[in-house]
Amino acid sequence: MTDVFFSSWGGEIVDNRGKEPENYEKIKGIALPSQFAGKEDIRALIGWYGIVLRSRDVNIVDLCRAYITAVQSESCGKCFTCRVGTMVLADTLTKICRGNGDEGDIDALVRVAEVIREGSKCNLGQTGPIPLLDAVKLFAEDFKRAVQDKKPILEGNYHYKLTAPCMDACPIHLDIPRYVESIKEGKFEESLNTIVEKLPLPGVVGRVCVRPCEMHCRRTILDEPISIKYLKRFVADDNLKKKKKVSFKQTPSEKTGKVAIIGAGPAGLACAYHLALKGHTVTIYERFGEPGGMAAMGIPDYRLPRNILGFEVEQIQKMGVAIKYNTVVGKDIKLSDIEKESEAIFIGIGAQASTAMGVEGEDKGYGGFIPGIEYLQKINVGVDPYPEGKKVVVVGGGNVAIDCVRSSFRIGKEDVNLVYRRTKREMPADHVEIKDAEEENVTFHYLTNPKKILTREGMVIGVECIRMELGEPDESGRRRPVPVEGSEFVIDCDILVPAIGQAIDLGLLEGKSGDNVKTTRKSTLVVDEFTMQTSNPRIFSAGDCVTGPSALINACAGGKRAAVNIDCFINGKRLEATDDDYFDRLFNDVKVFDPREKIGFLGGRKMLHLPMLPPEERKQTFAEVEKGYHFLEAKAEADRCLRCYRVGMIAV
Amino acid sequence: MVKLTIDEREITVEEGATILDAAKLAGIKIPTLCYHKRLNPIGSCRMCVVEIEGLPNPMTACTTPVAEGIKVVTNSERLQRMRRETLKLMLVNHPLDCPVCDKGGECSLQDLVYEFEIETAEYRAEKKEREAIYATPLIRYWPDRCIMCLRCVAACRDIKALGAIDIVGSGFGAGISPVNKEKCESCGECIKVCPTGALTENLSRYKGRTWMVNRVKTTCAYCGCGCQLELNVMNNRVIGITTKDDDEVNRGSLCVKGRFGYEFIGSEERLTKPLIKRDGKFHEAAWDEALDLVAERLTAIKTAAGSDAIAGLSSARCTNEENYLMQKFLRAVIGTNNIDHCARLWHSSTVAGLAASFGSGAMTNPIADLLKSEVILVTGSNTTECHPIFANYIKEAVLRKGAKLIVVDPRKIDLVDYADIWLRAKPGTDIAWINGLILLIIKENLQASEYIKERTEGFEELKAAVEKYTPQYVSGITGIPASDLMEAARAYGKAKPASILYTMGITQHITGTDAVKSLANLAMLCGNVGVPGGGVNPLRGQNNVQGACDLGALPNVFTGYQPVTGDEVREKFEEAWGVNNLPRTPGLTVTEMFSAAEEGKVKAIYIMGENPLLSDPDMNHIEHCLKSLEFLVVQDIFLTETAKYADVVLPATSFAEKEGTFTNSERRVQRVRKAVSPPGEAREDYRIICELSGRMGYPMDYKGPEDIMEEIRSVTPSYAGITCQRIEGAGIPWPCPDEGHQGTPILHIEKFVRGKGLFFAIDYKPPAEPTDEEYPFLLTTGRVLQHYHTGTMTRKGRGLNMLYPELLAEINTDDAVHLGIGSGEFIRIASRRGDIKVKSLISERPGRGVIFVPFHFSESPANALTINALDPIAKIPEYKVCAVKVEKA
Repeated sequence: MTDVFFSSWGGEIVDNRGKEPENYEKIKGIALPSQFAGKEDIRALIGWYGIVLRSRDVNIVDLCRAYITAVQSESCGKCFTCRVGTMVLADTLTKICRGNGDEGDIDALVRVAEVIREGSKCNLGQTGPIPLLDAVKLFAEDFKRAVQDKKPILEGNYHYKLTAPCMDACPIHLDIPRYVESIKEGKFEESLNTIVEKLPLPGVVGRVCVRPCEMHCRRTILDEPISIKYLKRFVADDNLKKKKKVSFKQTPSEKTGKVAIIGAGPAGLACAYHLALKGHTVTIYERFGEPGGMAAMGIPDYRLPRNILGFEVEQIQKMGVAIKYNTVVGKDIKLSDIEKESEAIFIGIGAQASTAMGVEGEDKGYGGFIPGIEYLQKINVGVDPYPEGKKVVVVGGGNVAIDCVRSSFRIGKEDVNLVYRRTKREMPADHVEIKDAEEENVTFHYLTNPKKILTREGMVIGVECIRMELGEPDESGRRRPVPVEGSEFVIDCDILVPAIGQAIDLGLLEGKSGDNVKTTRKSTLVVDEFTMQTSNPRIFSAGDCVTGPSALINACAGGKRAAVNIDCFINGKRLEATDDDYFDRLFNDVKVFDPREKIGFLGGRKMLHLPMLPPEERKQTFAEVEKGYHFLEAKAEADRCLRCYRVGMIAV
Repeated sequence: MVKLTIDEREITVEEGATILDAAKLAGIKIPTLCYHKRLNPIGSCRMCVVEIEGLPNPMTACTTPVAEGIKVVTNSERLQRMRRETLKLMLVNHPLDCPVCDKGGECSLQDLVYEFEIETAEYRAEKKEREAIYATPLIRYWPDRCIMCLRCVAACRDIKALGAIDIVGSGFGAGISPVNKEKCESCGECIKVCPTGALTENLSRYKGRTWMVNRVKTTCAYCGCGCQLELNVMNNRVIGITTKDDDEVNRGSLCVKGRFGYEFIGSEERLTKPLIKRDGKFHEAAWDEALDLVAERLTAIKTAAGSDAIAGLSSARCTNEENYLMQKFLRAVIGTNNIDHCARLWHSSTVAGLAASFGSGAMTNPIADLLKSEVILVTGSNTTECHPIFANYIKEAVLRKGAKLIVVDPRKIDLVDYADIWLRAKPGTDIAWINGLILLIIKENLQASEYIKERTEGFEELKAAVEKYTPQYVSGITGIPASDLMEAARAYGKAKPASILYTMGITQHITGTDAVKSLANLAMLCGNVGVPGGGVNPLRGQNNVQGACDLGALPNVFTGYQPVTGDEVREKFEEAWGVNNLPRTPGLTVTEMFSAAEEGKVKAIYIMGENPLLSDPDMNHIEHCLKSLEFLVVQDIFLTETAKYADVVLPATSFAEKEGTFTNSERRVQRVRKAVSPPGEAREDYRIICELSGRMGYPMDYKGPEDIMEEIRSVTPSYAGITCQRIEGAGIPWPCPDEGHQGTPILHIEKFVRGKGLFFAIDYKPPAEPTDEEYPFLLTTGRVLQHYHTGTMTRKGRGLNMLYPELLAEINTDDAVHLGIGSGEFIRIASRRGDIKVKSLISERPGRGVIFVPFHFSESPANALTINALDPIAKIPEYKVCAVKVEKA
């Protein structure tokens, strides 16, 4: 980017003032997009790491005024320096911008800004004054002029958003610092209320989330991230234990309507919940006899006990959401019939089919050959998918593969193997779970690929594999596995479970003439990335059937987003991205979390891990492996939070 | 342990300590403002910033745990600059109204500004008006003075666990506001911790500046917690109450009564002159005249009808010294053991039951021991309202130490909010569920077998007796689901140690003594007696009910529970008192005295500081008894309902007007100090007794209460080591056999007082008066937080009556709907003995079919309804259950 004439972002000063644009020095470390919301030019950015200026028309003093005023309005009031200090700064800057400043003001700005930066309790106060201090130092002349001229400065146009690295990373943007702080203060109910403002499945997500938030936790730089996931689980469990009613803030829309949802998985449930909050009448069509979709069928009970999911779905049902079980849309009822009765439809059917391995014999229907999803579904409804078998080989490296191997022990299988074509390092499954599986004595065969199914009388008796080695990186950035010629060997087994991927069963769509829903080559539904609307304006979709197999929290986020837009649709409002959506995109470019940041605080307080049942005991049972936090542990863990709120603002 | 360096000094502290803790330990002072040792660190004021070598950013000492090897600097140019700038920010828009501020002179902000020599409020910001609404009318919030240190919010959350107030709004406009106003108990914990004048008391502002008042430390005159407080005195008036953080028991906390219930002391209605009734009307009289008359009449009755025709009621509100003299007067001067007091009505079953099981009838453990308990079982005690400071310990144990709480109560009392397990037992079914727990614990093999073998007797009999109390059987009697009982049994059975707290819900039954013994069974079964954090702990209801019992204001014992039937004991007292023929048979109890009056056996009663007309069961009966007397003397601070029936009324002094000692519920003997002089001609109770005694031919010549205490020590082994000097600073729990002894916080360590702990095999019996078609509701009586007893003190000021002005009878929502009663509507409650008209409070607290009526209000006296059915051993009446009917009034 060479149109930026000044940047102090991250403390790296690039000053192109006085240079011709063609001689501008390039800035590193930040990529400032040129437009906001696709229509407004971004003229400057001011935020936690500094200032980036693109347009010379931006008045630096007014930019600081607007920014500090925003910081002040977001200050929580829990420490003096930030609460009062930013007010003094904001008032002083306003005075200067109105043409009433005097020389002493600039000095005072620096002194107060310094004490806020050094002395504030949380990151809002610690980062808020940074750009102001940069500005006063590097644009001293501008400030001096503003004070001497005593002329009012025209107010610019600005947009801002409060964020935090964890919040930004969370697909559904939970207000993590807030709910964590509530736990620290012992206000568990308040904490849960903060979560359920956005997420109706706190107990589920608190157990199975892939935790992008924790990957972006600033505390990692000091020692370890805080356990955001377990804290979420804690407040959900605490509520369940105390049998308290969760208070859902229902705020019905002006116009409410009937919405049909296909699939009671995480996406469908989240969508139903948010529609119910807005007062709409929601009916969910679910093919299985119980709710949860992949959360129920794909995730084993030892990771997610049924009663937790059941309780949370029950809460959604109590809000008036009806679920029609054992109803397959496209078979038991036609999509077009549903469409007649509903003002809008949400499709959240997930990716329930298994992808083929491309191995000889996999389509022959051998006894003992069971695709991963089916294998888990059977186990999850309490059925041993193939009681004759005792020796299992699972193929794949994702979470489904790990769930398959770990579940196998729990239904009494004796010898359990996992075959994966790359190395452990490339495995997409959660590293914590890989470790758990290792402890439970799963035999891992890395750099191995199945080649041929060996059978006798139509039954699987083994699998012929070939050794692999890693070659050049492929389009995913991972090194491509290449077979080692002549390295074939056989693993004896009577059950072979391919779990290399999931596919979407689009059987419910009735073709072009029927419902006008566009799909991709990979059989996913095409939706607008902001509104989740398909090519049929009345049909919305989110979750795995849009994204391909993905994390549960992504499905929830998609479902929520769809609900917001369905509500707009029913109310005849235009469906469009919001400023928040554009800020998400902006922050994606600007990066809210910088792992290279030097925090400069005392660390050394590691994450409090949940106690687990010992491997030999837990592999025998579907009882939950991890015990939740005691409330004193939860409070101590919450106390580690650095509360990294920060304000990002752009001038347009 | 962790080693670190602070200001070049090496310090070793425990892991988990903060840098501030470590600095304090080393005597290094770091300036603080929001920090308060009873609160979790807040970190709002940023004054305690310190530098850590190698780290660019300063950190707050109060919130940062120590780490091995860190080098901390607490005082540098940079830190001082930060602190000065922060202080200047605190002064932004802070009104410099110190001259009219109640806190002027003891304001932490003033002190810091002075210390840092800040001469002007340099920074300004546009003023934002903040609303000054607060959670209670007794406290005023001054938003401009508030620096938002958040101590008040933390105190409400960390100490009281209420969360009634919180920060509302954001940025500079943020302020303190009630967020759960209905939860506010007006305890004043927030005022207590406020470092500035942002929170002030509404009853007495502008009455006196801090340097103008005299602060006299004494012991609170309400419940048995025995809180230490300072009476703030100006011009011989108590104008406020303050506390110190380091005081034992309450550690600076008080309840609404302790903090705001002082107005009665200076009430216009106080008795100031003796009154003599002539022709049915009271006439003021001189002391000599009144005392002469009393002496003359008592002597006449004694001569004519014998000593036992006279009875005396001592007082749980009076000091130990006064109680001692009262029983001495009755025994040595009148010659009767007819001495009792209202402990009979509250905890006589405790005294009888625990004495039989353990050998001593008092709280076994200090209340602070709860912080060591793994499980706390609270039953029949509405602790948050009746013993609010003890309840603080329960909450602290649960919320900060992780103890489990089991509440067994027919009402959904506030403690249920903090409980892991709540068993809603029907009133009067305690023995059934206790036996049920015992059976389950034995079935699960959770009992302390070694302990039982070595330290107790009677276990086999107990085991046989509880055999039939299966969960199903218990459930049928108590209404407690079997699974809940199981959960409670496992929790209590597995805990090491577990504590039991109880009060009237257990004792005030015809089976009260048996229920107490049952709790003792349960505690011994699990080895919980004689261990820190364990015990069986009856919480005593009045400031000195423990002391009144200890000092022999009971018909069967002299001081220290020495039996009147013991020849050696009697001889000892005869010698000490210089008399012959002390009466050798136990006298009448309170409940028996009045019946004896009705029968004409008792002709005169001398009542010191009691109001039996309201406090005793079956009011109409008591009224009749009082009318049957030939002569009634009442010595009190107000003209109580009972006093109106007296022939002579003697004006006495309140706790604020006398010296002496009270013994709190933990057996801790504490000082009472005189802060103001008595109103008019009112005299200390001990002086009145002395003068009367002299007139009846037995001169009592004490220089003062201290002198009396010396005599008490000489005849009472358990008080032998307690002198006024020794308890000047902090109280001593008895037994304290000699002056070198530190007192006994925990009883029955190693050995029970009676030798071996005794298990009793006890069977459940239903209450005396079951409900029937005509009287289908169960009435249960008790206290509310804002009032005390018969209201003689709490109803005499504005403060408490603003909060709870009139009687409210609690009725379950379903029952109210069924009867067509709306909240706040008047209802008539009738029993076989009387009826009252009261306002209803519809609530989920009582279960269906249960009505709760507080007994503080003479206009609608709950005891017009209660039954005078007595426990056969302790003679305690069954206040807690009787059958009533309810209708719209």
